[in-house]
Amino acid sequence: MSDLIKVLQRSFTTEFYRLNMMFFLLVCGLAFGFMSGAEHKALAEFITSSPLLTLVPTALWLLYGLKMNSFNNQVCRMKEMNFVRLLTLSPAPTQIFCVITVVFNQFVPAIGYGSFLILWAVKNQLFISALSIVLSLLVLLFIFSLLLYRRIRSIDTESRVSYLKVWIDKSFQKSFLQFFTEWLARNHPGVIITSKVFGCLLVFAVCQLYKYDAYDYRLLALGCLVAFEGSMLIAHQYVLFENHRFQVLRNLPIQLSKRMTHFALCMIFLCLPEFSVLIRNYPTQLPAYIFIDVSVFVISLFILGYSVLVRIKNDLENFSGRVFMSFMIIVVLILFSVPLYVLSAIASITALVIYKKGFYAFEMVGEKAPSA
Amino acid sequence: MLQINKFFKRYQDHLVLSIDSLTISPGVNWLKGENGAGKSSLFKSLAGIIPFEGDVILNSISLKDQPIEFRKRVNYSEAEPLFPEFLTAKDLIRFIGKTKKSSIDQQDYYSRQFGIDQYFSKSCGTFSSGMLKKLSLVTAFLGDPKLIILDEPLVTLDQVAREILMNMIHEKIADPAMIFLMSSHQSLDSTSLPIQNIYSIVNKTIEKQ
Repeated sequence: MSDLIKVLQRSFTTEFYRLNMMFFLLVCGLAFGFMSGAEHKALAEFITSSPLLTLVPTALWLLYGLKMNSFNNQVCRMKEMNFVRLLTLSPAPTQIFCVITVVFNQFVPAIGYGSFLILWAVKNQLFISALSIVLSLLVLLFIFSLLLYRRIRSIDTESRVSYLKVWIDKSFQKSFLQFFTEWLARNHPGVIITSKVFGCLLVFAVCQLYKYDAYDYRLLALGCLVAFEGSMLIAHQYVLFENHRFQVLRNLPIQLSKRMTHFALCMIFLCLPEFSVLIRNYPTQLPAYIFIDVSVFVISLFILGYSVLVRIKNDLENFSGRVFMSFMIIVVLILFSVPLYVLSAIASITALVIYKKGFYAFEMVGEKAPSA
Repeated sequence: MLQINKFFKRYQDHLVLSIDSLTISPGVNWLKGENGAGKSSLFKSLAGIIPFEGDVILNSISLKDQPIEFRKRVNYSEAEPLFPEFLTAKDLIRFIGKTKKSSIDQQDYYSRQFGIDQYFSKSCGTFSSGMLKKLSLVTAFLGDPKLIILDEPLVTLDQVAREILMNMIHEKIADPAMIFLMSSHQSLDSTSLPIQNIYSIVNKTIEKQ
């Protein structure tokens, strides 16, 4: 059995952590860099003070679990992973044990923090809170193990297309705009959900601040900069799609301006939730043109991020470094009241120059052969 | 006429293929080479999918200087085609056809040839490897290409489909400027194709046989 677990661990667990290294580094940075020990204790005390409040970490673990599940589904869809189906030939207890081990190991960060909360609750004799955390973790572990178990059993079975999809496919023809958005929604729903939830909450929170104090446009600009920065992950997926998963796009005679416009339209479409929250909660003390300024500003940043990804051969480590550096520079420029339209113009022009030089010279580095 | 000048293809620092100068004339050209010799890398480079050092000129149009014009005239079918699984054959053919300035009549004509029209509203995820190959081959004939690159076109095709493909190639090479560049591990001698030239990749370069 240990050999079986070893193969599954390599295929699912190690790959999961490897591909999400940046995400875990970011979480570690936030947890251990920005928060002190006392603040961690205060947060744990707050969460465990009521069983209802334990739903907050549960919701976050659920999101994390969805991300895990999306990754596991993706692995199971890969043709080279068809062999995993052989697991179903082993006895049922072995299958269940293997699947639970994989999901448990993927879920370790949630279990780790959950254990900290449980210990804290027990220490303060808040047994109902401790019990609700234990139950939440067990239920999530059970659900995601069951999902992986079912997914492994259905690998390589005949694909079934729903009647609705058959009807839609017969009645409508997809536009180019739908190609990427549908691909992203089908293959990386976790990226969409996490970036949208984060972005919307941040935009909402920043808009709320204007209700209690007087601020100028810079607070909104800074808030939107951080909120929309989360969607850079989508820009990365776009580069993967355009240059790797659907490689024939590079052979098509499409003008660079059209490619760039298409990318911008996809991003605008995918950022509609953030824009909706911004419109709905737009601070009354700011003039309306600031909304246009901020919108153009974030779109220009997306364009810049996209062209930088093309230029640096999709090297994520390099990209994260550049994003961080540009972020710091832009924060300083905003604080020094450099108008947003000036920043937008600089970002757009830089993006166009980089993109023009980089697109045709671009080649994915270190990626496996694409799978459908 | 296809001219390849000072061509170098490297992955990181590893040289895969170098061609000092090569002119490929109209007609059917067969490129041979072992697995991993660099055939697909050359084809992808010629199709503008991956970058390379040097230049490629098709009928006085340079890939580096006129990338859009060049891509209008060069079509490519992969050895193992992969398309997003949720797209239908119709979505793909209409989209690629539109960018290649192919009329709906032409798209329907080539789709009918391979029987793709019967699966027009089916998504690619439900296609067999043979159907995916046919779909990829249909897209390689759309528009008004002057260079069609077919990487292992016979793989996964049944006998009937192979004959249809040969007929389509025959139709196209009626145009005296038309160039076909094909790779195949199976012999093309047994087909009815008039092979103009045979090239092989030896020691990381191309030699004419």
